[in-house]
Amino acid sequence: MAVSTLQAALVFSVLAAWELAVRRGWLPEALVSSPGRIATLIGQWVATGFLWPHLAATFQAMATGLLLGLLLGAALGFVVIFVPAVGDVVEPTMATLNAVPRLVFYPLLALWLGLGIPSKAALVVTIVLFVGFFNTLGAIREIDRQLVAQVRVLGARPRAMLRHLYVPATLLWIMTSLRTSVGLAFIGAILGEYMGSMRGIGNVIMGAQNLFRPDGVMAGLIVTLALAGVIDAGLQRMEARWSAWRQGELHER
Amino acid sequence: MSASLAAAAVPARQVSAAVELIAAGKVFETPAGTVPALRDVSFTAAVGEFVCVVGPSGCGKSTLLNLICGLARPSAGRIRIYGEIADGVQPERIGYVFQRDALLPWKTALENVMLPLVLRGVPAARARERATVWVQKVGLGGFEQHYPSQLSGGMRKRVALAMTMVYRPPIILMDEPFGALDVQTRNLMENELLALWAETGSTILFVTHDLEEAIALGDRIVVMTAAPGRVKAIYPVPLPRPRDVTEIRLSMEFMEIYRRIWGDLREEVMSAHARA
Repeated sequence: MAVSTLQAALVFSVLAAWELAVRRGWLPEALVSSPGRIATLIGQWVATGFLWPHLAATFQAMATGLLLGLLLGAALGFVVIFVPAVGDVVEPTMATLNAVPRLVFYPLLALWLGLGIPSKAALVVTIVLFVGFFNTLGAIREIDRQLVAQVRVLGARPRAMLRHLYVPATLLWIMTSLRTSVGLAFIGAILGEYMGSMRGIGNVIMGAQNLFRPDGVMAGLIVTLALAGVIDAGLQRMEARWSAWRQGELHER
Repeated sequence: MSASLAAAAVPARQVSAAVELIAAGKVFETPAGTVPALRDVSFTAAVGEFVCVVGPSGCGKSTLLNLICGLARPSAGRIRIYGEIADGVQPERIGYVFQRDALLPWKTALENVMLPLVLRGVPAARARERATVWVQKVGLGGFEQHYPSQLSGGMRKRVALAMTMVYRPPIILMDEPFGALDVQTRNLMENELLALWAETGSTILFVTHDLEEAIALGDRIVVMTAAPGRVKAIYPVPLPRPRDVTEIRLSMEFMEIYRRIWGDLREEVMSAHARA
């Protein structure tokens, strides 16, 4: 409690100092805008409904790309583990591709998929895919070999092994890294929008930049932060729910 | 369901040996060369018998169980299960309680115990019912909904035991199952195991490095040599049943048997030590 009061006080004093500096003319408003102007602008966006289609576009691109990317990455991971002939080729290829800045693919994606949401989602996929892939490899390789033996001895055939052992172990790793993946998905969606789009928060930021409107750029940033914060809080609550089994304490029911 | 499963796994013709090892051997290929783990191991476990295998650390006891249950193949000799040459794991015939408890961390105690039943296509409601009975039998009533991480080592061991007993495999292999437990818990579990064994009539092959435990539990004791493991001698344990593992240790007959076997075992422990 004391910490959050302190945090609020700190944030408030920074904002106050900023506002004051602009009003007194110590800082050029044309470059740094001011908290008051930014707040007013966000208020306008909300009041006129200007914000919602952009927010929805960014969220859609992010969520679709995230889901597809993780699924594809996990699927590819399973193929690499269980079909060694494929794995010998795919794994080093993925490692190399992972070192390439994915942004260089965007012009191609935009050419193929247009300037709408699909090209942003695809850019997100190219980033998140690797998280899903490497987490799947890690998850399966880290499984205790005795646990594998135990489940086999208990009578699990290959399909049951997948269902009871490999898939849950993978889901677990992917869920653990979900908050990181969401952050990456955001970066992908907004960068894509920034580079060429018709809608989305990245598009708003780009538009404001072209008009030399620092208040617009900063308002876009703040909206992004808020969206990320809301999603992250949701994920944290979800995580606390399903990972009851990881907490080592006994709670009576 | 379980009774009929177990019955189906045992061939109709009368066989007296549940497990039969005939000059079984195992060598491991390592980068450093060939390492023999077991050499010329022959003994049998009769149907319904409780056989304990004792030997110094590293004498290949775990390897022996892995061979019997089909997780590994013998490099030499043969292993017969109910008179048939074994090939691969045989979940309907052989259960295995590992040295470390291997539970699925994302399943509750109850769900872990249900797993072998679910794998056998037992309907969920029925599996839940039977698993609940076994969770209670191993003294974990009230902990059904706990995850393995929320249980103590002894409790996890009980879950592992229930997980194997619940589907009543006719043969049960146990690899130092109580090694990591404190003495009180251990004696408790040993008594529980004897009661469960008397009730199910399974054949049990119990590996331990603790001679006292072996005498307290077993009908016969197979003493192994230091690596590579060979059978040094086999002793009957003519102690009456039912036994209480804590009390039986105090009897004259127990001491007598202990003295006789320890003479053999001591040599092996010393030679294992000298090499290490």
